[in-house]
Amino acid sequence: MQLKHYKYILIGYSAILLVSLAVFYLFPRCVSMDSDDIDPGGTVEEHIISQSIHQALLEGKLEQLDDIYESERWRFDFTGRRLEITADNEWFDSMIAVERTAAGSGEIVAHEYRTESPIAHRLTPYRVTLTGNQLKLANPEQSQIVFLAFNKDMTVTQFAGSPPGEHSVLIQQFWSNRMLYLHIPADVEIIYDMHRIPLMFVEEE
Amino acid sequence: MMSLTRTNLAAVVKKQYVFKLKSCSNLLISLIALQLIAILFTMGGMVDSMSIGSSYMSVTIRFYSGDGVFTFSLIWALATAFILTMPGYRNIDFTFVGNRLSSNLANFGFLLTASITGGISATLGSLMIRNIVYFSGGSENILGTNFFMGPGELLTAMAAAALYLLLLSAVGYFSGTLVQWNRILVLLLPALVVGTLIFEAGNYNRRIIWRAVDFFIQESSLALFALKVTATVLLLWTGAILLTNKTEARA
Amino acid sequence: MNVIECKGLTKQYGRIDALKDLSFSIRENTITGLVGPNGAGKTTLLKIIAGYLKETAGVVKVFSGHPFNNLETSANLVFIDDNMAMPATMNIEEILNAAGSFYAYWNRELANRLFDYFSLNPRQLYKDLSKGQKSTFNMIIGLSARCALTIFDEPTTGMDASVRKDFYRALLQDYLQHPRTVIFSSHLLNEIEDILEEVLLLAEGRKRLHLPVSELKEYAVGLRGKEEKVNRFTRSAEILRRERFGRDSIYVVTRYNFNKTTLQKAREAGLEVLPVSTADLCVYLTARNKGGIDDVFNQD
Repeated sequence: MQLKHYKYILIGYSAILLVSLAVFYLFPRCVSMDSDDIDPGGTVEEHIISQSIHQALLEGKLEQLDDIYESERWRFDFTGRRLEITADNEWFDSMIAVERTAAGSGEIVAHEYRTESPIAHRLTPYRVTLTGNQLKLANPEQSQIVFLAFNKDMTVTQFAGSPPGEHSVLIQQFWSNRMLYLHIPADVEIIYDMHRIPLMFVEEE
Repeated sequence: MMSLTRTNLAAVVKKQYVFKLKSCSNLLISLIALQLIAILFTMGGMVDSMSIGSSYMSVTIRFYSGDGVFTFSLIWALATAFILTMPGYRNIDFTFVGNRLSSNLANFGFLLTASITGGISATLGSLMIRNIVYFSGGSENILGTNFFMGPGELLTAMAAAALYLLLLSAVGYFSGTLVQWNRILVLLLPALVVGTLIFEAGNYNRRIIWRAVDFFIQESSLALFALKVTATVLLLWTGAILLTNKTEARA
Repeated sequence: MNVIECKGLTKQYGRIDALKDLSFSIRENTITGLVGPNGAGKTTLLKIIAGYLKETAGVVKVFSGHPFNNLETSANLVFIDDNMAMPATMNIEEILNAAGSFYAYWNRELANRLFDYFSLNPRQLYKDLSKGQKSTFNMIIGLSARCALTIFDEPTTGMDASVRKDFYRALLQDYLQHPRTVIFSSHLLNEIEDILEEVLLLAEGRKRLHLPVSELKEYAVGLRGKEEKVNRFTRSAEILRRERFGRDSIYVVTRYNFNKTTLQKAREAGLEVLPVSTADLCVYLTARNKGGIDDVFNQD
C-alpha cells in the first residue's frame, strides 16, 4: 500500500463517521417507545403476577382496572342447553373466567383481556371457535418479540452519575398478562375438564 | 565549508512529528480496522441481552452500545504505543535529524493525535452502531431509551474516550521504554503485574492495581478525571524521557 | 579547523573493547577513508561520531560539541549505512521529500537528477527495492543532504561495479562544488583511494595509521627475488610482509625508507622493486602476522 491509499482509507472512514453523525442528528426518527412511554417503576411481581387482577377477575370487575383492555371479542349464537368447553392443546394456559348472563340470551361472548404493556398489541390472540355445542379454546402461538435497546456508553455513564452496566430498561415492564373472559347464559350447563381448563366462576353479587 | 545549521528542539520535533504522521499511518489504519471489526462484532451479537417468556410470549431485549468500539480502541492505544518504542519504529527517528528527546516528543505528539482521533472516532462509531441498528432493526423494535445522545453527552464521551486512550498509550509507551531499557523486563514486567494480581487477589485492602484502576474509573467529574489523566500521563512521559536519554540508538 | 577530534576514545561492550584509546582528528573539508578489517571498530567509531552510541571513556568532539544525543550534531550530519530504517508506508519519492524537510541545505534538484540517472521508480516502496537499489537510494540521500559532515558506512553494499563507479564520481563532483567533511568507510580501498585525501586505518579498535593518501602510496615498497639477496637489502628495514615464492624466492614488503641509490642497487642485483597498493598495504598493516594466510600452512 502506498501512502495515498492510507490517505484514502482515512478520508473514507472519516466520511462514514461524519455521515453517521449527520444522519444521527438530522434524520427524523420515530422510535416505537421512548423512555417516557414505559413505566419505569414497579417490581417484578407487580408486573408479572398481579393478585389484583385475579381478584378483579373473580369479582367480575376487570373493566374497572386501569391497565387492562379488551383486545379481542368473539360472539357466538347459542341456543343449546349444554356447552362443552375443550382445550385444543394439552391444557389451556391462561386465566379464564366465566360470568353468567341472563338465561335465554341466546349468545355466548368471549373477551380477551390483556394488561397494558408495550408489546400487548403485538401478541397473537387466542383461538376461540364454537362448533355445535363445543367451545374450543386454543392457546395462541408464542409471539417472539425482540427489542433492540441501547446502553449508555461507559464514557458517558462515568460522568453522568449513573452506575455503569445497569440497564435502564426493566424487561418485566414488557410482560403482559392475558385472560379469557366468557359470558355464558345462566341456564347453559357447562361441561369441562378442570384439570385442563382452570375455569373460574365470577361470584354473583 | 558550508556553515553549520543552527537548530532548535521545537523545529526538529515538528519535522519529526509530520514525518511520523506519514510513516506511522499504517498504525492509524489498524485503528480503523479494529474499530470496524468492533462494530461488526457488536452488530453480530457481541452484546448484552435479556429475555423473559411464557408459553405465549417471549421478549428479548438486546442492548447495544459503543463500549466494544471503545474497548478495542483502548487495546489499540496500549499496543501501538508499545510498538512505537521498539527498534523497528524508533530507529526511523534516527534516520534523519533527531535525538532521543525529539524522538520521544514527536512520539507523544503522534500518540496525542491518535488518542484524540481515536476518541472522536470511537464515539462516532457508537453513533454508527445506533444508526445501523435503527435502519436494520426496524424502528418499531427499537427502544428509544438511551438511543439518543445529546451533543453534550457526545462531547463528554469524546473527551473521556480520548483521555482514556491517552492514558493507555502512555502506559504502553512507558512499559515499552522500560522493556527497551532492559530486556529482562520483557519477562519481569508481565510477571510482576500478574504476580501482584494473584498476590492481592485475596486481600481487598492491598489491591494496588485495582486501586489504580479505580482512581480513574470511579472519578465522576470530567474535569478532575482530565486532571488525573494529564498528571499521570506527564509522569509516565517524563519517566520514558529519562529512561531513553541514556540509551543508544541504531545500535 | 577540526571537525572531529578524538582523544583516548574507548568503547567497551561488556568486557570487550570495540575501540581502545583512539586519538585522531579530522580537518574540515576533507574526504577521509576509514578502513580496517572486519571488527576493527569502524562502525562503532562512526556511530559514536554520529551521536548514536556513547563512548565509554575518552573525549570525542564533533563540531566542537559532544555528539551523543546532540541535536546540533545531528542537524549537521547525515549518516548513511546499509541498514537504514525507513518507513514501510511511504514510497521512495515520499521518503526523499521527508528527508528533504530535515536538512537545511537539501538539494532537491540534485536528488531528482540522481533519481533519474539511476532510474529509480519513485512509486516503489523502500522495502521492495533490491539491496543495490536501497544502497543507491541511501547514497542519493547522503549526497543531497549536503551536510557539513557526511558519513558513509559501507554504503555500496549490493551495488554493481558500474553504479559504484558512478557513485564515487558523483561524490567527488559534488564535493568539489560543495566542499564538506566526508568520512567514507569501505573495504574496497582500491576503488575509493582516488577520491580520498586521507586514510584512517583501524585494527582491533586502535588507530594503525592516519595519513594523506599520497603518503600512504609511498609508505612501503615491495622487493622480490632470491631470498638471500632480498634479506641483504631488508636487514635493517621494518618488514611488513614476507611471502615465499617457490623454493628460494621471496617477496618482502618494507617501509619505504631507502634512498634512490639503494633501490638502484637492488635492481642491479636482480631484484624486482614493486610499488605496494594502498589496499594491500592496509591488509599487511593490520594482519596479525607477517606471512598472512601462508603462516597457517607453514608452521616451521
